[in-house]
Amino acid sequence: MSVPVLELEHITKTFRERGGKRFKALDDLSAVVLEGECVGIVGESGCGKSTLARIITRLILPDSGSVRFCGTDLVTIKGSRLRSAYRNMKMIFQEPRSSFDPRLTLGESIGDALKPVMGSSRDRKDKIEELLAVVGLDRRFASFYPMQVSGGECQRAAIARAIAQKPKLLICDEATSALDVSVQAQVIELLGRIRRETGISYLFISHDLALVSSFCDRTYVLYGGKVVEEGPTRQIINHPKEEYTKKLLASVLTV
Amino acid sequence: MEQEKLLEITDLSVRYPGAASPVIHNVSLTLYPGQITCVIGESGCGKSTLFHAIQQLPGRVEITEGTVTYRGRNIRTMKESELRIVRGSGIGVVFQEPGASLDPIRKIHIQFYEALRAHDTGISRAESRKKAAEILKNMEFQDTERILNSCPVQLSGGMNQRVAIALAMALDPKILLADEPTSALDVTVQAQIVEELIRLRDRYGTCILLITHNMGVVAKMADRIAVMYGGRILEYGSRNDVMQNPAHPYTKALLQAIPTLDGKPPVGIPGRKPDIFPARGCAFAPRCTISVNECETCLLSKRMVGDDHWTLCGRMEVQKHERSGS
Repeated sequence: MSVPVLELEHITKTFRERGGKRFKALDDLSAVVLEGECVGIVGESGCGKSTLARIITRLILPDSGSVRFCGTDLVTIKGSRLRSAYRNMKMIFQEPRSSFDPRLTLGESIGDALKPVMGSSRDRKDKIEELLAVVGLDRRFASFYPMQVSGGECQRAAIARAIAQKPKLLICDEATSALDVSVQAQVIELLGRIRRETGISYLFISHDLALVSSFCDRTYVLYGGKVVEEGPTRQIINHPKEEYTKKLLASVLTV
Repeated sequence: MEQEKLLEITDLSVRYPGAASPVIHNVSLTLYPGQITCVIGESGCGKSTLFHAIQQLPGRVEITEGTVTYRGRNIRTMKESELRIVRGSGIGVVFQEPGASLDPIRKIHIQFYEALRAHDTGISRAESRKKAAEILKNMEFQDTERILNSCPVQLSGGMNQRVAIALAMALDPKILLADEPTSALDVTVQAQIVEELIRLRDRYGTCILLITHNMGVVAKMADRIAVMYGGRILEYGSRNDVMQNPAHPYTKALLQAIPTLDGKPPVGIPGRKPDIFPARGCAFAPRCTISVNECETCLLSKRMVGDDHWTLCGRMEVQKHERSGS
């Protein structure tokens, strides 16, 4: 029996729009990610995907509901306990360049992520090279600035930084959407390899149902802040139950 | 009967103003009425540059060799006044960002009026409004009156893109150039726009040149496919030929990199795209699994592999022979 890494229960989040109108971004959403599992969150823009990612990473707080990560409630804890909980959860974003400080080299940025667990700078240097090798970049990349490398290379560096502290969960928010297809496939291959080697769990947020279908074990389909359908990815693709899922599937232009 | 060649690009080489070497090498492409041609390629392959060269927008690109002819007339030698007629009423354009070609705070019917008046000085507001309403109705818009009285900021991205297409169609162009028209949109809206373009072609017989990186869009609507990489068209042919029997290693690899609903994992293409596009040799050779040394230096030439299906790669055939011979 697998242990849940992330448990989301009855999460609701309402935003106040200009003019005082209320907009329910998430509506009683529950989801779970088990250890070693790759879970997809799929939906169109405005369905609440990114709000969900922000709540999990506590960039914003939910109105109600709980976020439990490895058994700890992330909504209520504070200070050092919160920081140590987040050591086990990392995120990669759509735009790799905007997630790096443009004034630091990629090596320096990855080194910063290592500081809490590795005091000596020589150890860190070795570890940075090791991490770069894991993501398929040679050691020269440690001295490059984000603007000097391609989008795909920058996303690899972001992955290297994210796995530096051996997290249990990696949240990928449209992590490959800004990349060319051949590069996207490279990054997906890389994420798959890291998973096989480390047993990490993924929460893979994407608008691309085809991509989710080839990568995720289980999928949640979101619409209007609600989970409209949930289940093993193959079952959702081959036997969708809900009208919205069927519509989404029909609009995927297949090759 | 021989079909009229609407647009004929012959051995076109293009560079950015002031740059030493071209970014597009020897591109040839012919567009026929009622045909949808898709140029597919990843970012930085030169597809948008090709788009600029066709439009002859001043200051964007410089043609160093080759010709672009619109209905038999070289657009490079046209006067600015003739070019104005070609742009708009000959060749309509749709861009990636739905808002980019629309004034965000001007009512849609006024924007139709401005576009029509720029090319047909006699038209009155009432006439232009009537014409706009007719186009929107033909494009199966619901409540055309509300759309005409709205500003783009009041409409969604997908609706604006449909309006931009309608606006491009207002002058009844022979050719519609579309540069990534669906890339900024959600999948369900993207599917709608693709349907829309196909309907336009069926209804008006418009020739469409669509530039995209999305193989799904190509699979759905292309009659002809041109695969671009490193500033060249590497392969050209009918949709079925190119997608079922790719004759260039890049096309083959690109098709395998696309995620599909059957759950087969996408396969990446190792390496990175070239920073400079070589004038000689194959730009894909460093990433190619079947390349040999000569690939990087040889003079590339078209090899016919079928009826109206050609490739710039000679290695695929050699491989096939070697495999069948051994």
